[in-house]
Amino acid sequence: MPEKILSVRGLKVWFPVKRATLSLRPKKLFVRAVDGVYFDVYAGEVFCLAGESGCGKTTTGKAVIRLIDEEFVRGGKVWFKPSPEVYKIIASRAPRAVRGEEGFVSIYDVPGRQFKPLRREMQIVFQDPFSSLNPRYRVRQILEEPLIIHRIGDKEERLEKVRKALMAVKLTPPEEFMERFPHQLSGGQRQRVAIARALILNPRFIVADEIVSMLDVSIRAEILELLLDLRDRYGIAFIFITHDLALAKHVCDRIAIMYLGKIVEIGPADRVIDNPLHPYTRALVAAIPEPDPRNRAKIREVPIKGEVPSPINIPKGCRFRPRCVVYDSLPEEEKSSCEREEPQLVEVERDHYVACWLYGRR
Amino acid sequence: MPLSEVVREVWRTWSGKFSIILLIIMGIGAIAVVLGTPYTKLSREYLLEPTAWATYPKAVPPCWAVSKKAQVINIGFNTSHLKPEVKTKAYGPYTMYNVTWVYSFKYEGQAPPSDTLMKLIVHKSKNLLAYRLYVYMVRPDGSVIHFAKELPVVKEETVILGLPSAQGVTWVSLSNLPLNSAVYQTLVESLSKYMKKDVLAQLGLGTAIWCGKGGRVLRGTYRVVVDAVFYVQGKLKSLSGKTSIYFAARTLPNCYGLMGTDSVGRPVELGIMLGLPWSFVISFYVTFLSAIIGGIYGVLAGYVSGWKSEVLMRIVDVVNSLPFLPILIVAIMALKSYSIWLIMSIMVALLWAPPVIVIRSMALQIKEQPYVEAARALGASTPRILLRYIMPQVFPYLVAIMVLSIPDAIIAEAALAFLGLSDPTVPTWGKMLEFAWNEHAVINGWWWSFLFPGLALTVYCAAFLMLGRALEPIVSPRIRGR
Amino acid sequence: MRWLLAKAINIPIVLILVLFILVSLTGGILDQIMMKTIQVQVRREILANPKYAYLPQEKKLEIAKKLEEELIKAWGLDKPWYIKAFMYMYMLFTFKPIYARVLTTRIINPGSPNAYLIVLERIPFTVVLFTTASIFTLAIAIPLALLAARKPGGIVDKIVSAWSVFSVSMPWWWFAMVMIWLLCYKFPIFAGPEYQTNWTNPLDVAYRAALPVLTVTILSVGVTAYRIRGILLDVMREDFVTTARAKGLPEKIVLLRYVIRVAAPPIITIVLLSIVMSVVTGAILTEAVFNWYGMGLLYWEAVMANDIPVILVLTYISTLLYLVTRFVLDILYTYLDPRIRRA
Repeated sequence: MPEKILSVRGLKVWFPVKRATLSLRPKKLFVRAVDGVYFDVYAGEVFCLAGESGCGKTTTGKAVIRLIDEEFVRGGKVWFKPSPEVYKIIASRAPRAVRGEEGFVSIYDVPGRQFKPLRREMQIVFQDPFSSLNPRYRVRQILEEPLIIHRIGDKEERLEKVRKALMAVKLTPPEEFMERFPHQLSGGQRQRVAIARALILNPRFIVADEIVSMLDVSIRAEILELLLDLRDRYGIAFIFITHDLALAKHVCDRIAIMYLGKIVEIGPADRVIDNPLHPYTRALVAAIPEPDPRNRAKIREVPIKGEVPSPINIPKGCRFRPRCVVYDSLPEEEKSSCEREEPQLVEVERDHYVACWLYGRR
Repeated sequence: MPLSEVVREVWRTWSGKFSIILLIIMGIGAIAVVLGTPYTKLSREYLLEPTAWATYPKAVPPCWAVSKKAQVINIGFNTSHLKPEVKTKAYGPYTMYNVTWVYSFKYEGQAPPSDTLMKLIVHKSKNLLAYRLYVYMVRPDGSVIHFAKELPVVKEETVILGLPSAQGVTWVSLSNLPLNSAVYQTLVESLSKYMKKDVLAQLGLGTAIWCGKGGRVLRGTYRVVVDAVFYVQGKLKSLSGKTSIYFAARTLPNCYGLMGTDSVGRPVELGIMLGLPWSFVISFYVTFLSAIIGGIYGVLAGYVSGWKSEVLMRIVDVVNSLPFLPILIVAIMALKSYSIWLIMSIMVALLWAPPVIVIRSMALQIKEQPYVEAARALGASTPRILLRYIMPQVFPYLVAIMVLSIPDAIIAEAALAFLGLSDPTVPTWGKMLEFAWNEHAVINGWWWSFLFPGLALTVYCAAFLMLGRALEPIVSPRIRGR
Repeated sequence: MRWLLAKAINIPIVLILVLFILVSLTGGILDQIMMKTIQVQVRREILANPKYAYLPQEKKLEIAKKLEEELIKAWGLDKPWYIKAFMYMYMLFTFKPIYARVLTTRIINPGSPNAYLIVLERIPFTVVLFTTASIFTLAIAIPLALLAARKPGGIVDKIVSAWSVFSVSMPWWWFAMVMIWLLCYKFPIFAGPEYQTNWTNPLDVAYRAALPVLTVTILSVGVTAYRIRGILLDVMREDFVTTARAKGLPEKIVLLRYVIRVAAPPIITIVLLSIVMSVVTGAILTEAVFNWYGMGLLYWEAVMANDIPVILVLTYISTLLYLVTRFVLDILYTYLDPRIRRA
């Protein structure tokens, strides 16, 4: 059993709806982007967060590395297990944050000023390689920046590290790339630089937020391979955020399906995708494009209806109910639990959890 | 984007080219004026020493605008060098002497001069009694203009025309003679025989003595006749050394240089020249400081959130709601100081606010860029993000804003100067306009004295405005895309 | 609706702060004015009062001093400056009469030194002048802007652009001087600034207004046309215009039906705002040069006479006018722009 490094417990991220300063109705409305999410991430695995756009997967990804202001985190905890050295620093500076499981830090309980050492251990790579690199910095400066921020090494050492990081992401020879500006690189090269920037601090895990969705299809495979290679070589865990289930199946070890701010199904990737249990997952899987050209012309039935409701007004009971075709076919007496209460995640088979009353009643 | 590329893009447009050339010329001009001339001395003379301009023609147009030019003549004679014509007549123990000297010269100018400067000094020895002096000019048409008629001379040295000073006797302008002086009254009396009073008043005495009826110039030979009548007890052995009269006249041209002169004789081109460096100082001080303050404030207001941002923006709201010129007037009148540095600082206090709104929205946009988020994920501190990620992006736009607001600053200063609220030691174009207006240059038709300063202001502002307009699309993130 | 309310509440907040700045700038002078008033009152009460004529001079002075101190206390002049600042603010806020030092009214209740009346009687003249000029400006600028926007970079566009550069770069009062010199003296077509005008006779006023209106119109057409052109071009970049063109609609119809309709609210806002701005500030010297009996000339006269109370009231009133107009414009904009109305 690999070591658990991240444990998200009931995380809620709510954004207040912007309104005039002087509101006649003082009741506040919220966009409930993440609304009670539970999952664990283990060292050296690729953990996938999948779902439609707007389901809160990116917010979750940002929240677990504390890129969301704490004022928007309305509940739950994110427990992270840093390296022993960092743990010691945090434990001495912010004892309130380490009151959980041994070796874990509750990242939102660390005061903002003390948080910097933790940043070294958790990194993120963004979707858009065009805007995620400072257009005014050279590649060398972009990669040096994290080292300067964390005061690592002198100039020589930093250069050496930059060179190594560039080699690790297969931008060789490094000298050829170091003095270039981002606009002088191709999309794939830029994304490699972004990965190198995340890598250079030796993090324990990296959030990869749709990192291939804006790249040409021909480059995607290379980047994904690089990702898996890095995991194997350095034992870095990835939280891989995607809306592409076919891709997820290829890359991920475990997968969590999100719908409207909540995880509806979680389990080993191949099992979830080959044998989807939640009606929503089934719809998603049915919507995966058919690779076989002969079958493309067929119009397939996708078992879902309607539109995603607004995250400001989340339906009562099971939040998927208004779109659920299974719910419609249920006999009236069985519908009541769907209408009344939110289903919780239950283990249906080994390591495979589903939040749906179809299985909760079993 | 590197600077060279920006310059190249600006150069590509027609107005950009024009403005860059103009700015280079004006910049070099300003430096040349400061380094190549005794700038402080000239400014002091220009602003505070009206006597420095005594020998300059007053309120004359530029020479290129005048087709008929006056002749500048500079005559002077001492009677001891001239041959006198003496008549004597005995009255008992006394002898009356009537001594006459004549000096002739030619005036060939196509127009009368704008004024005539004169000196007239009489020396006599003590024993000449009841000394009476006659000085008149016989003009080409035979008419006679009297400067002195039966003028009694008592002292051994009498300055009839001229102002005694440390450097000797200085010139006196005939057009500006004191109304109660004997020479003035004599001149008016003899001139009004030949021309109407209103024509005379319009021309001024210094011009009228060269004019015939209707104010047309009289060309030809003029004769100055000096006639002294006195009594001596007994008889004089020789006249030499007993009396001498110094007479000098100098005509002032009816045009001056490229831009003429104002009503106290200061060359307009000198004012334009002296105003140029200050235009740069004023506009750059005000716009640079307000752009820097506004830029930092805007970036901060964009970076902080919640009530802090609200408070910051409300402050900007207030400053932006202050009517600019009125508040400036109130502030300067209330503080009772016309120091240029104070005036400029008050302008900064009012002008930093307008760019804040744009800069803030830019900062908000940049703040949401993934690379800023990535920097936060790396653990970069807020000051580092502001300084190294947001500021460099905002900076080019700030420069454009600065360039575009240069007209505001310089025109505001000119407006204050027009109200008389300007530093008395600083020569500015606005002050020239004020002077022209207060001296009724518009009514008097002295167009050069207000046209050129205003034109200088316009060209100066237009150069920056065109540069700003050429810069704006290059640095503006809105048009260039994200 | 809610944000309109928020904006409405914004007005007094901004006004209070503006007042505070004004009062703290002029506080010292106001103190002097108040003291002077007290001294005058004391003289009238004691020193020049026949009732006290029998008293010796020392005694009279003593009583006078006592009364003066009492009055100072009663008026609150002995309080620290920040309290006094609030006092003066309250005074302005409630329009308590403030008396001019030198200037007086000429039309309403002639000879009155009430600064509010002095300001009030000037407002209509300024408003009339700049509104008339703005109507002419719009009548010329809108067609000009349409022509310029039709062919960006074309000849009309270039003229509009150059014209706007020069009208922004010029000191307006200087241009006014040039116009007066040219058209009143060199070629005497219009009435000059020295023309004795009966300001209560509309015909006379109209005769005098001709040259100022012409001058202001010439100057503002450039800027206004350039701004309108900018708004039009912004709208023309939007997709629905491209769609309309793609449908094959003639350019004229695209401009008049599609572009103008969307561009109208910002155009109206900008034009009205610029009128207000020139009424409030821009016109000070232009009016002074034309000797036009408006607020701008009043500024000039007050500065020349060093009449601080008048300047204070004038600035206060013009700020008030500006803020209220901006608020009205906000409402108007909301009303005109359906996108905002719905939100």
